[in-house]
Amino acid sequence: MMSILHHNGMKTRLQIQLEPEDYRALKSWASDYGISMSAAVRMLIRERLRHNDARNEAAKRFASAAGVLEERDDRRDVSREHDRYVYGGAE
Amino acid sequence: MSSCYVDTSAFYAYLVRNDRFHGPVSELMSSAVSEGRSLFSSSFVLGETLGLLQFRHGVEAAERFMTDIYPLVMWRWVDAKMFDDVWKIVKDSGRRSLTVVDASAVTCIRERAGSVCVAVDTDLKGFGFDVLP
Repeated sequence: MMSILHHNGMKTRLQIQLEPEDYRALKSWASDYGISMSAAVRMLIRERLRHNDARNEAAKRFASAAGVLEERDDRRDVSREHDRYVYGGAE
Repeated sequence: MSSCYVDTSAFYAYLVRNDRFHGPVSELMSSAVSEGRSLFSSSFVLGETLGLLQFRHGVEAAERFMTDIYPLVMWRWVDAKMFDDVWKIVKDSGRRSLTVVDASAVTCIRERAGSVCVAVDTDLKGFGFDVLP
């Protein structure tokens, strides 16, 4: 259940009722991120509903980057063995 | 629709066309994006991936990552509280090969129940979540 209380020009105030389990999950999630519950709701809404031009553009750029690089030596296992390349042992 | 945590190994395999795991990782990540799934990762992975790209392919490759990959990914910035959890995972594992970067994956995925992990790094198996491909 939800109700719109008022709109002050920039933001619309929305009151919603949550199941206790959802409330606890949201509170915990917001706490983990160090943000308020309102900010957490806004973040989740943006993440879930971001089917706008910006998201589509980002998705296009992401797709264009697949396979854009090429190893110039014969190593083909750098992804799986990346720890050895970053932290040592792959000289 | 589950979110996908992406590890350094998967970002690298996605970008490098002749990496042994490019095919399956590229297919999986392309499908996830086209289905509208959220990709997320940790700031530790961001640092590690940029370092690996710089080291293997130069700064231009790292710049390409920032331009083309970074904007679509939800980044979980590791703070002091999260780092405590991350370090506990490393310490409890007692495994030399499990880094704080790997452990940040475990923490991130636990925060988002039901998420899957995209990685070809075997260090992330055995924590109770699905590791694909």
